[in-house]
Amino acid sequence: MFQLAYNGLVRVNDLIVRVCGILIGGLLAVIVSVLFYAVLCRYFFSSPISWGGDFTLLALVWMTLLGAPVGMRNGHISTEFVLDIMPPFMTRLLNAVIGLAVLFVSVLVLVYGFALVEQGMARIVPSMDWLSQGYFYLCLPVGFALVLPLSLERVFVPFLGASSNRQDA
Amino acid sequence: MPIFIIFTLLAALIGVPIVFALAFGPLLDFFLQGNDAMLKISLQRWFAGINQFPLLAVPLFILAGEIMNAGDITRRLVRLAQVLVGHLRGGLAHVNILSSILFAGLSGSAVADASALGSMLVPAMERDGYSRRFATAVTAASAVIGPIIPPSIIMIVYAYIMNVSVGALFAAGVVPGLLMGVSLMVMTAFLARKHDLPKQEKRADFKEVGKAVTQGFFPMLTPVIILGGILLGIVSPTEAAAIAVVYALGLSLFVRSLSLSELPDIFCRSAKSSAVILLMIGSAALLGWVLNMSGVPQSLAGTVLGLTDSTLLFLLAANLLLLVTGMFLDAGPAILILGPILGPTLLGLGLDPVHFAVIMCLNLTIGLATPPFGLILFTASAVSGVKVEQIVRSMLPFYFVHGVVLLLVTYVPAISLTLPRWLGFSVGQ
Repeated sequence: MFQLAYNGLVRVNDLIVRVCGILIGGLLAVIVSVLFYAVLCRYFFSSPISWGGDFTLLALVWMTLLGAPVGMRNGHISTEFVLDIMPPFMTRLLNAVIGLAVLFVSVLVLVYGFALVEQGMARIVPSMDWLSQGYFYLCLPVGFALVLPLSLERVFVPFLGASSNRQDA
Repeated sequence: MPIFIIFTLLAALIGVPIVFALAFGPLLDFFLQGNDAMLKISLQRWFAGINQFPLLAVPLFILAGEIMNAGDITRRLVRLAQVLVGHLRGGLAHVNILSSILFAGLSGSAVADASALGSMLVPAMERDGYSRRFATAVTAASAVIGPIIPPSIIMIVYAYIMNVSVGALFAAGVVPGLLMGVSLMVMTAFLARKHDLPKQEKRADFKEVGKAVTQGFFPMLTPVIILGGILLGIVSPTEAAAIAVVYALGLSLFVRSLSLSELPDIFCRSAKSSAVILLMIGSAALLGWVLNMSGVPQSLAGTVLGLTDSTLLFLLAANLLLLVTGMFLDAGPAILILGPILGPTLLGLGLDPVHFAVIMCLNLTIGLATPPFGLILFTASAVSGVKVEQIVRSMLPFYFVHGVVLLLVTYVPAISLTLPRWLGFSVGQ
């Protein structure tokens, strides 16, 4: 039963990581194109585009926060020497604790992030009057909502993951 | 010590990813206090740490490096180095170091250097009669140059967190980087004489040199465009990075060393490593803000300044601290954590922030090439298949060079500050 739920979770996470991985690549392409276009406009056509800066920033923050779940699989940097010198059962326990710590941070960001979004919705981005500041903040709860299932996986991997053996997929 | 620091340290120590560990301390502390307002402001700080125009340069320089790596550009640089120094005794070892210098002007990361050059040069050196161990050691030792010669990702991070000019930092890195390269070549020449290392049979003739220079000309324009643009104040570092990406892309596609089908993968990979760094910058901004409120860095600065007002001693202590940190932690996170803590002390001692930036970046990059947790060592070992312990044994003479150059850069500020001063940045007053 648990195993089944866990396997489902892993499959959902695979999907999250794959989709977010493609999205952030696309956002990076958008950043490069817009910035280069902005440089061209400024130096060669001497008509700078006003929305270039804010637009690339929007793409940057979304790329960064959508990268948060992607980094959960072989991405985020951590110190591993304590894990390496511990006996196996302690390693499993610590891994679960690590997952819980990540879970804690994600839940807080999720809860308080939405408060930020609500606040920001009232403010409009000066250079793009069709966009409100809230869409900048929105990446925060969205990104960490997607980290949530991956941190759950980290909590249970030491106990249920051995058989499916997919933690470094 | 405030409790949030202990939470953060403990979390980082047991292996919570740094990005979460940095935020974990402050968030848990505020949560236990039931302080809703502070939790909300914390998130705002986190977000504000990422939502910064200068940080756009980070993913762009990573992307430019990845594109050059995937294309034929690395090979052209190596070929250029080969016709220039291949005929010396220990030829390919010199080629390896010179390639690192050339490559440093294109890429901003030591790990990219080690993997790109190692995969190409270690087999070549082995065919030429070098031991695989020595070949790998040369690769790892010279990869240290990568983040010192601009462009450099860790320098952008430092400039941002410590509020100094990226242009001044880039300018300050050029001479120390070259100095490191030349010093490594001097040591190699000595080793070559001692161990009778192979050299290439015949010196490249005029035609070969001409061909290599022509092929290397357009890749080598990249650092000229990036540095020239930034240092002359024509473009911002971010714009320069965007131009570098488009230039590298155009070049690689034009010479058909890169096919369009490889691009999505390159973009996704670069985006992932950028996101990992930028998220850490965000949580470091949050921790830095909380640290500042707690007054820890200021009281630490007071204590240190009370112990000694000798800049010499402080620099020695700071170097030791950085070296040990660098042995365990990647350079970027180390800067993010230690920068705000060491900053107030160094300003109190009247040290130039640009000078200290070069010391810090050089020191932490050397740390990447030292055991037990040097990323460069792991990369070089992964590329060549030589065990880390064995690489380290062959690295000993090069560690000596690293140490000497580090001391020189630390105690002779002119090495770092002359070039930026010439270019009109206000440093070292």
